[in-house]
Formats: sequence, C-alpha cells, structure tokens
Amino acid sequence: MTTELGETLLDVKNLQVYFPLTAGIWRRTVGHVRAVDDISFELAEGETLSLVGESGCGKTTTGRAIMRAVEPTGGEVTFRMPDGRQLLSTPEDDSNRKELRQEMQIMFQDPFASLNPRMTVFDIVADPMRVNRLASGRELEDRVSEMLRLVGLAPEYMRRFPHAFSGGQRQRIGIARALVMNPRLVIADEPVSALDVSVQAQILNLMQDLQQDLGLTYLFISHDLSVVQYISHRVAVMYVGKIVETAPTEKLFTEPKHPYTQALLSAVPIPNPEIANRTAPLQGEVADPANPPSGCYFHPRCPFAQEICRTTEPLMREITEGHSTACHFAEDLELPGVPE
Amino acid sequence: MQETDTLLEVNNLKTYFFLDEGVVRAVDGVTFDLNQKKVVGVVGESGCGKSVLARSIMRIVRPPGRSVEGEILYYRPGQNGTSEETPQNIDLNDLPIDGSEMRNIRGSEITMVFQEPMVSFSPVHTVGSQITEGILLHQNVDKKEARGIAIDMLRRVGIPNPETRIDEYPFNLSGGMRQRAMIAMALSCNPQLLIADEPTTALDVTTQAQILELMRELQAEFGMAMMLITHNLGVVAQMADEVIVMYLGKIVEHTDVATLFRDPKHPYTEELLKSIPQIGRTRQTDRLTAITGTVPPPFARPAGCPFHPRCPKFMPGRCDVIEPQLDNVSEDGSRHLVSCLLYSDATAEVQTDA
Repeated sequence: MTTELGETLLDVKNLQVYFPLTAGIWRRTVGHVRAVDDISFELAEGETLSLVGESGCGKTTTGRAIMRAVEPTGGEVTFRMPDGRQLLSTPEDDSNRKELRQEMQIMFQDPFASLNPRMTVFDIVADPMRVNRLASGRELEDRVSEMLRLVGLAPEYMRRFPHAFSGGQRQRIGIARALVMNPRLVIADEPVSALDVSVQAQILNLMQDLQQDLGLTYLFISHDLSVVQYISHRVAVMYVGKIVETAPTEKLFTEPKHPYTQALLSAVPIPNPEIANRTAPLQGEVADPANPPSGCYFHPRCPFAQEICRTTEPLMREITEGHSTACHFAEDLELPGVPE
Repeated sequence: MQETDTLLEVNNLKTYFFLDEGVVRAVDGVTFDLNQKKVVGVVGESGCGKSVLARSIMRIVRPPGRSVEGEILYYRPGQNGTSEETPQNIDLNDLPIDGSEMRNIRGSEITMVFQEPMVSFSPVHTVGSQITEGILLHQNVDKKEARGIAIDMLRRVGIPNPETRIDEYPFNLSGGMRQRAMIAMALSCNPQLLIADEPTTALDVTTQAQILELMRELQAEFGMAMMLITHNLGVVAQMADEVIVMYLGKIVEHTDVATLFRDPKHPYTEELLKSIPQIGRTRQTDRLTAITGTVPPPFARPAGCPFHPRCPKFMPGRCDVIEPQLDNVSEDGSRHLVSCLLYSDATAEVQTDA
C-alpha cells in the first residue's frame, strides 16, 4: 500500500509508555497512566503520517517515545538506515541511540519557548552539529548559512538573538535546527498551532517544499484537522492512548469508519456560512487514561454503543486496503465524511 | 419589534498605549454599530487590536493604555424587556472607569467571556462564590436567592450536578466545564451584550463544538447581542450574523457573514480566506496561498493603507500615500463597508493632494 512512496523507514510495534502514579510518603506506585497504550504503525520514506486527537490522547508522547525523549515502557521501534541496516530500539536495548538520533529530529510547537533566548541564531542552529562533532569553524558557518537560506531566512541575521524575530521566523529557525543534521525523519509536534493563519500557510508550504527537495519523512502531530488534510498522505486517529483508525487522508475524511473520527471531523467549524455543521456535538469528555472505561474506551460517548462495546475491547483490523479501525461495528455503520 | 434597533454605536474609537518606545495605536479610529440580538464576529491576526477593542468597550484597558478619543454609545433598552420607555443612551467612553455607573453596566448589562478559563477565574474562591458575587452586586437579591440563581445558571449551561459543583474550585473543573461556568457567570445578570474574546481557542475541537452550540442556544434564548472575537474563520462562519475584519487597529471590511465569505472585497480578507486550509476542500496536492510578509511591528506602522506592503493589488503612489476610509460598496443597499482604495474613486484626491 505504501509502495509508491518508498520502503518502510520507521516501524513502530506495540509501543507503550506508562507513567507511574505515586502516592504517600514512600512514593508508592498506585497505578499507571497509560499515555501510549500498545500502538503500532509504519511510516514509508517520503511519507507524511499525521497523528491526530484531542489533548491528552498521547500523540505528543508517541513522538517523544520514538525519539526516546521519554523512555518507552514496552514495544520496539525499527528504523532503516541509509545503508540498509535495520536499527532496533527497545526499552531494554538502547545501544543505537546515537546513530538513530542523527536520523530523527523534532520540531516543536511553541516558537517562543523552544529557542534559548540567550543563544544567537547561529548557535541554535549549529548546536546539533557541534554536539555531534560533525563540523566546526568555516565549514560549520557555511552549513548554518545554507540551512537558513533553505528555510527562507537571510544568513546575515545569524548573529542575532531569537527575540529579534517574529513567530513565523522563529519557527523557521526551529526548522533549520531540525534539518541541519540532514535527518530523514522529522517529528513535527504541532508546528503551526501557535502561528497566525497567514503565517501558518507560509510554514506549511515551506514544509511541503522541503519534503520534496530533501525527501523528508514527516510524523506530523496535530489537533487541527484542516491542516492535517492539507499536509498528510495518511492519518492515524488516537483516542486515550490508542490508535482507533488509520487510513489514507482522502479515505479518512470522506469515509470515516470509527465514530470518534466522524465526531472529530464534524466538530471542525467549516469556514463557509452556507454549509452548517451537521451533527450534534459529541457529548461528555475524554476518558481518564489512568482509569479508562471497560471495553472500547470510546463507548461512554459513542452514540452507537451496544453491549459488546462495554465488555469487549475492539482490536484494530483492516476494513479495506490500507484502512484499519478498532470498532466492532465498522462495517455496519454508515458515517458521513466531511461535505464536498 | 425592535429587532433592528441599535444597541451599541462606536464612533472613531482610538485606544493608544503610551510606552517608553513610543505610542502603540492598538485601536485606531474604529467605527461600527451593533444591533440588538445580533452576533458580530471580529476577526484578524494577533496584534490587530480586536481584544483591545473589546476591552475598550468594557472600559477595562489598563494604563499605559487609554481610550483617547471617540464615543461608545450604548442604547440601553428598557429594564427587563419592558421596551416602552425610550432607550437611554450613554457614552461609555465618557464615564469614569471606576464610577458607579460604569460599574453597574460592566458585568451586568455588558459582560465578557475570556479566552483562558483557568486564568480568568480566581483559583482561591469557589466557582459559586465568584458567580454569586456578580449577582449580589447587580441584582437586588439576598445571598440565598443569589445562590439559587447561580445553581440555575450552571444547570442551564449544561454542568451536571450544579448543586455540588457550585462549591468546587476552578481547578476541579475540566477546561470545557470551566468555560461553561465562565459563560454562566457572564449570563447570570441577563446582559444586553456579551463580548466573547476567543472563547474556544484554548479548547479541543470536540469541546469547542459543544461550547459553540451552547452559546448559540443561549444567545437565542436570552436574546442578547454578542460580539465574538476570534481568529478562527470557521467559528465566525458558523456563528456570526455580521463580520468585522480588522488589520492593525482599523476595520478593513464589515458586512454580513454570507457576503464576506462569498464576495470578499478587501485584499486582506481575500488573502486571509485563501490562506486557510479548508476541511473537505483542500487536498494534499494543493498549495495554500500564503500572505507575503508578516504583520509589521506596532511602532512601524506603514503610511497610507496599513496593508499596502503585503497587498497583492498594491497601487504605488496611491496606497502608500492615501489612507483609505470605510465606504459602502454594496450595490443593493445592504451594508458592505470596505476600506480600500480599489473601490474608492479617490483618483481625484490624488491630483488635488499633489
């Protein structure tokens, strides 16, 4: 299904991240927050996969666990290196960390919080190269200039500090920093959520250009479905730490199979006064990942819930080619997609 | 009926911030009116002055900011819907900020819902005490009755078990519930005008949909006018009757919502609408039309039309010289105000100026 995009670059299997809940003076573990609960997906080279879901669904933690910025509890991540080797990373075996980190980089949401205000733009962008002792002196300076030009900033400004730049320009600096190591996978964690709409379009266009020119693979984490539809080849919807549906973008938007996906789609206000948002909004609130409901986690809010949903957890299964969902009634439900 | 009656008329309002670096003209000569029971959406990018406009109407702009010029005429309808009396009009901009008259209006006749429900509630008082405080101040009731009204309001905004929830602290409530409580507080005195400043920006999409639905229902039920400030064009399209588009402290376009989305006239509005990915329409193979450049810093406001450095239809020698005025460009007599030289026959002015 992903053959036209190239080989599998990243293979995530049964990834789990549990955070312990402690109580009492001995900090005894009394339970776990299952932030990421047994999720699996593949990412082909040159592809953009979006992880969408409400706050607290574990999408950011997934990205960070792949980078090993948080330690996963279980599961394995396999990454294909340029020379064809498959590097494995599991909670027990982290010996490939250094090599993997050069291939994966991350872009953050808040362009104000993610740049050190006491470092110049040059130092910020050059830092990854210095840490890995890949370049120095003249060579390093040339590399930084090249990166800044690539993201649409004038290299003359590289001795300035981040405060001299606008939100959109700062996000460009963040992109330059992420790309300076020549990574093949970029985890973009809500890269445009903090930006104004007109600037958001500039950054999204830049990300698409860079993907084409450099052959990048993106794991795009976002809650904004209209942005997701624009940027991604495939989408994975998360709910309380689990993936509930994955499909090629068009499919997911026009023929959602999981009621949660459909609820998310219909909740987006359409910027056209002639098309009214159709369905009634989803009732209730996101389940507590420390104390999730029985069966299907979505059943207390699901308008189609039946007895089986309360008792049995649905497993991910393929409905049509490339379109998988975790819902007992995926075949029976006729869910509307977005209009037009 | 008085459906078309004017509730608020803002004339040439200017709110400036006097900083050491210079004067920031956050709201710079804004004129519009708002009818009773209507929802007007105010859109624009950050820094365009939409929040300061709201705060100016509420008269809660803090120094070094000050409304230096202009009128905010508030046509007060008769008390409690007995609209027999002639409306009494008051210039809010003329009242002392701390005077009793302004304090009587603020929080009772004109109320506001803020963006961050966590920051806008006091964390050390219960939700109930914060809601009843406003009721006790503005209505002639005793504590017990006020509590009853507060419980009733919490129920109407869809908070389950309001009798127990009323004694909880803001941190006990989720983001969506907190915003519901905020709305309950704003509506507890039956306002004529509710100003909602980015009421759903901090919320998830599904919660946003719930809150918007609730606001739509309550607006119809209470019959108040609403000023909805947002940067989300989807929210405006779904909620508003009229839309005001602001750029750098000025209104650039003001018309009804259908016209704005179907036939935008100002280049800024056009570009803004083109730059948003539209769910259901934008495809992965498409390309967004980004507006070139960024909003200029507040001290370096361009001469002439403030949008001219980013405008694709920039006319050298005119746009950077003449400051456009809001003119009605509608051909059928409805309201479609645009502030752009493309639509004004100002050629004559250029010659006389030169």
